[in-house]
Amino acid sequence: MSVPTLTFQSNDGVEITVARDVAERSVLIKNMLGDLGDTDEAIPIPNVNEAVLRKVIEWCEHHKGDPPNTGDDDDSRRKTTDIDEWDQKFMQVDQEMLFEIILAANYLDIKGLLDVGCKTVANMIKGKSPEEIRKTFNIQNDFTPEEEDQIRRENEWAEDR
Amino acid sequence: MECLPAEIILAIADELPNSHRTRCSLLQVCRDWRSILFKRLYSSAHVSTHRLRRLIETALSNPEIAETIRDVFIYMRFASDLDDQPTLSTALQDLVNQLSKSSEEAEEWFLDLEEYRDGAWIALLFTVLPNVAILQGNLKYPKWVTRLVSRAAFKEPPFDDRPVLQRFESLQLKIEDWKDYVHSYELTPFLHLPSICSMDVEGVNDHDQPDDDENHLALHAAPATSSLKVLKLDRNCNSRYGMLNFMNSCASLKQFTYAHNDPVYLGQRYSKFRPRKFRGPLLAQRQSLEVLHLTDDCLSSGVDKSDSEDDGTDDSRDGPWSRWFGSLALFESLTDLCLPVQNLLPFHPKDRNQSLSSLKDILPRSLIVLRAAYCQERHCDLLVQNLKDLLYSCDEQVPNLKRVEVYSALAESSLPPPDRLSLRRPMWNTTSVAKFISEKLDPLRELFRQAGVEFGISLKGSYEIKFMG
Repeated sequence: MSVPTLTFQSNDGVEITVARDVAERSVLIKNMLGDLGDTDEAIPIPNVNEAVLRKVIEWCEHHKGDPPNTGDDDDSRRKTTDIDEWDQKFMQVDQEMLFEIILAANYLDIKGLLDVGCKTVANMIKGKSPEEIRKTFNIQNDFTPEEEDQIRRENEWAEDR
Repeated sequence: MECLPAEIILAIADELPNSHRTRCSLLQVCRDWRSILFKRLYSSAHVSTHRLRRLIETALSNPEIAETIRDVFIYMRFASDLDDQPTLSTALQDLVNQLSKSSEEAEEWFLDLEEYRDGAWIALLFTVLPNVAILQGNLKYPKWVTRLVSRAAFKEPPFDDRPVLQRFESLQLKIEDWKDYVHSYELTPFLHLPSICSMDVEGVNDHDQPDDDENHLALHAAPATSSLKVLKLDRNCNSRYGMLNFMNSCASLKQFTYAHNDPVYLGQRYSKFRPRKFRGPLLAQRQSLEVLHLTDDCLSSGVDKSDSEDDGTDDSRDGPWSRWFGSLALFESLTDLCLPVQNLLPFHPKDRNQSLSSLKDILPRSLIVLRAAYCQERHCDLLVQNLKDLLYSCDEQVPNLKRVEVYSALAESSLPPPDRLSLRRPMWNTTSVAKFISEKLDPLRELFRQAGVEFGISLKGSYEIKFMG
């Protein structure tokens, strides 16, 4: 018996066929199929281009056997920025693609992929000074020197244990 | 990066360690990040005792930060980390003057602030954080906190038009030194606060009453009006009167945990474990109470001379600490019960003729988990008989029962006795429940299996170790 499939259409008009169980890693798609039933028509994914959609599907295929995420995260899990080896390699992309993957994961409601994306960015921030963070992500410093000094003074009470 | 919406920036920040350096860096990147992350990063404040002055000054000069801080975690610093500016700023002096009832009180407060007495600073902190809901940390000198919370709870001037602690929900106090303790009346004012729901405090005793010159109404029970739901007195607590101040304050307590200890050190009054003293106050909570754990970390096997006026006998095994707690059938919401075996069943000579004292008669129908603690060899026969009877009538008497656990008071180690000077306990994997306890209880396993109720015998809390090696 053949594996049930769905067809996605990226925002640049490319159709990609994907196994239904892989597609259902997306809570958005799963709920949509639950509401509308099976469909032979291509499902438009308006916010995601072909390259990003193929990356997202690649991640979903690799993780299709993972237990469903319950959303009951505890603090200890949330604070660890450890990423497994396959995911680390998967996320070795340029920044634009990284942010596109995060946005697609957010839109398609794929929590595992969103977590990996956020952890990857968090690891790029960890231990860096404000200037280093700005340089890493090409962010313009729009504070005046007085404001920067004010923020530093606001935090004088705190110290790292 | 500009393409990422605020919710993603927040999710990324959540993956970062909650450290001061990280917070500072994130807030200084750009205006957008500061605006998105401000509330998230300032909602909790982790601060050492000796940086409280700076936190209070920041809150005074930046109302937005003051309003955002909800959870405060205070940790101790040693003398070498003392703040480099012990003198009080004009703003702080003005605040103390506004809050004090007299110039003498202000002077007294200044002195304690300059000596870095933690309570003096924490009291001041409460007044500058209008939305503070959680305080976790140490409190070695509670005097100023007690005074401040009393006045805030009763909305005395200046707190009549400047509400303080009206959103305070949870107090979590730890003790650094086993000799530290706090009187229950010193914390009772927290039970008068309108939003209080949880207290988790170590080192509480209830032996003394407040001095006349400190005797505020808030130091006495808020009669059955407090919103407190969870009361945990889990470490180094010593009660003589059943923590009456706390218990009588609660309108509908859901969880009560008490771990007794006898702090035997010079000059400190203490009492042996008196489970029956809790019975009366707890009965007033019988409709709401879901979790009841009363345990004795000292096993209470010695004679308590300080209790000579009580109902103890000359037998060192039979003091007030071994009295039967009484029936729990009236506790109609109770789901999780932990009592020492000697208080769960009538072992004390004065309790042996009690009618309706078997487990099947005294446990509430709502019970899901029963934990029988500090089981000694002499308890086994009566406990086994009672558990058997309970299983036979389980469906009618305790239809919700899912688990029974027995904690042995005696363990065996395969190692030889440690050096007398060694404080180290044997590794857990060399220690097991004493054989003569497990041999008596093991036959119950099959009966419990047949009844579909989990059964376990383990070592938990205090136990003595017999070295067999």
